[in-house]
Amino acid sequence: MMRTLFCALALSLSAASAQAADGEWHHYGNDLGGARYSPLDQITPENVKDLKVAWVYQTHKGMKPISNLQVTPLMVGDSLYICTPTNEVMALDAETGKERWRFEPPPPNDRRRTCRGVTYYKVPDAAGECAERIYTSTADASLVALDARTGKRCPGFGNAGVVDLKTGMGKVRPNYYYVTSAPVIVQGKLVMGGWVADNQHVDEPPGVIRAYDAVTGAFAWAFDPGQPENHAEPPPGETYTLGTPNSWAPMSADEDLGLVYVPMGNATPDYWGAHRSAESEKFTSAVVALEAQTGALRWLFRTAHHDVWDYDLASQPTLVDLQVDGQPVPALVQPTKRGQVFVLDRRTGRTLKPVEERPVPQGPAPGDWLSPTQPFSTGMPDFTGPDLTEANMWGVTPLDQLWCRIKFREARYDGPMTPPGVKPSITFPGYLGGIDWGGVSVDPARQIMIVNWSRMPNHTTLIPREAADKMGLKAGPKGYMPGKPQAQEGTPFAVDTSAFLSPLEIPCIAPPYALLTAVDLRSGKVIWSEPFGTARDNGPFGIPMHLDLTMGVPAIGGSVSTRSGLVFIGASMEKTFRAIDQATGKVLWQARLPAAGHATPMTYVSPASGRQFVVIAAGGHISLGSPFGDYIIAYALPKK
Amino acid sequence: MEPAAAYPPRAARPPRLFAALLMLVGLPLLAGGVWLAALGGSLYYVVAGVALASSAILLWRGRAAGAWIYALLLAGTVAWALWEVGLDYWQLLPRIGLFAVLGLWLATPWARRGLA
Repeated sequence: MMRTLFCALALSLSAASAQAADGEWHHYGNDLGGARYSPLDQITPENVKDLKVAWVYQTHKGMKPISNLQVTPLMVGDSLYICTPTNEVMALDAETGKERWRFEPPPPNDRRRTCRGVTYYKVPDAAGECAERIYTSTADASLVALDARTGKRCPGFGNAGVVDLKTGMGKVRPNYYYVTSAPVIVQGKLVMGGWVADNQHVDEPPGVIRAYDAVTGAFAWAFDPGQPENHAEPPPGETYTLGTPNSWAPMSADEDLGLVYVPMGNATPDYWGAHRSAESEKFTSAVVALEAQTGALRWLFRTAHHDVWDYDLASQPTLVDLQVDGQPVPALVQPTKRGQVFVLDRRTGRTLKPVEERPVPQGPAPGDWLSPTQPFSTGMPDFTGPDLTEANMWGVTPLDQLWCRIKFREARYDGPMTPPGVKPSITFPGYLGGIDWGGVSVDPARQIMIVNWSRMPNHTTLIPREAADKMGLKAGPKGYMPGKPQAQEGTPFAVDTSAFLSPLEIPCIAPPYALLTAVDLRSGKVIWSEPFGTARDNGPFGIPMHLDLTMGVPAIGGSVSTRSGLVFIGASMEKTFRAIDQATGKVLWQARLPAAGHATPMTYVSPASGRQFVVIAAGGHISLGSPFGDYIIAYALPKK
Repeated sequence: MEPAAAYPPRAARPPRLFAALLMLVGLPLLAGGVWLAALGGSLYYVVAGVALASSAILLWRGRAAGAWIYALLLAGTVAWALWEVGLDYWQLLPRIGLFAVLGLWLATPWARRGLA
């Protein structure tokens, strides 16, 4: 009796947390709530210095990769599951890194995209073929279900294992729509948004959020930000609302509340928005709670009103039970590119830390409008740093520094949310954040949040249509090209925005460009904050300076927190993977990587040896110009 | 063995290559500095540009005053840099680095030999 009761209790506990067995890694952020927390503690602050490479796997066997590997592997049973920017999916032996199977998508397979991870699902009460599945999506917007044991397509899912995500999306040009973050699995539904090419034209593919039955692939519901009450698939010949806010970042979910939390972007084009509908304005850069069974809207919280800065939500919302007056409250932490971190009650969307609407700079672009105020999370630390001044301008010599000072003085800058216009403006933080898709990791026991954040301004100019036409700016056949002026067809202005760099191709502002900060979630106070990364792999014109001095070089990617009090993070343009003491911020261990590790690491215990492994993808990054790699690298303590 | 006999002193020549280098830095600094000042920015670059250009002209002519002006510029630059950014070494680098390196060369006997 006692034993049955105990089993029932254990079962209900595991259902409540919807967490994988300790030692495995079942979702992108380990748990469905994106905490990026591991309960493992074999690797400790004391022994982490002995960590060594256990194995290296190359997705393309050393062939030159054509895009950046950003994947965080999943670990189930004794296998790792990964995906590549060219849509291959692989299962690897968790102990040795040897390839077990490889899924090759049908040709042509030369399109670049991003794949941050795959989705795993175990069909309840099923055995045999496709009882356990891996889901991925391809550059031509197909959702594919694979047998986790063999890598073969699941015949019972959609049409021979494939669901066409272009249904209801209108005319989708190549490279204009695909899913970059792994679909979230909640209550047997696969829920996903999609990436949409930035700044090409006003009627780009819909930002619709869709759910499919994880077993059959049948359409379950849609959340169309243009018609939030209509959850049906459009009849043939019709489409979801075009040009609506999309969601490309990882989502999170709460199985018990039956809610999926969707970090929304804005209705592209990003830098001029008078044409946007009232519905688009409502959902722009908002975190939206949808009912997992129906897609019905439960609540929303908007992090930027009438977003004309590309401050779309890039970070997975992180769910944590927050200690408030000694009681756990189901909370949601939403990091933003703005450097504001909002803390909400995930049942209701109400704020748990004070949020103030503060006046922001005015003076919209011709024909556009601005919100007089924007929300600021005053109960949490600010992850932007002080406002810029001319004295913050930087260089290697007085000459390039002077160039940056002149550019700064020539531009408009009135602090956060300075609007874009025909006269150049400084957008700070720029479109990489603040906090980008790396999000935050949270140690729920110690209530400590780890934030890696950037300080990189953009230099932004709107180009009147007539001048843009003369420059030949048109919506591109290849979609979005980072760093190039973009057409924004259907609005009066094209846009030219990129990182604010000097002619030596180094940032115009002084370092640090990236920091790592630990925050006590209970008090909202900073525990420690340190510039992150040295200058050894970077320098003018991308030439490495070999300066082993902490500078805080640009970083994109996430961290993992462990029960033993360690934080694992690559992320930096410096090709280095580190373990950091969560209590002090001190670097306890570091290893050089063959390419920068712009991916979130993960950790697991291999059942074959019982050893804890830590894995990171070393893949470089397209927007940061850091060279590509195709490495999956596992570290472990030496065998005893 | 007398070293002086082995290495007879060269004829004193003004450090013209160095002077030209200073002018090459000084002129854009002056032009950009005027522009920055017109935009309401720091006046330092105008002052530094004038000092560099005068130092360059005097050094070209072999006048020791050129070195003194340079020394004054370096001292003034250090004071200004500390006032503007404090002890942040990354921020001090663009402000002091280049001028300090050039100043070190100017302090060597080879540079001073050609100055009257």
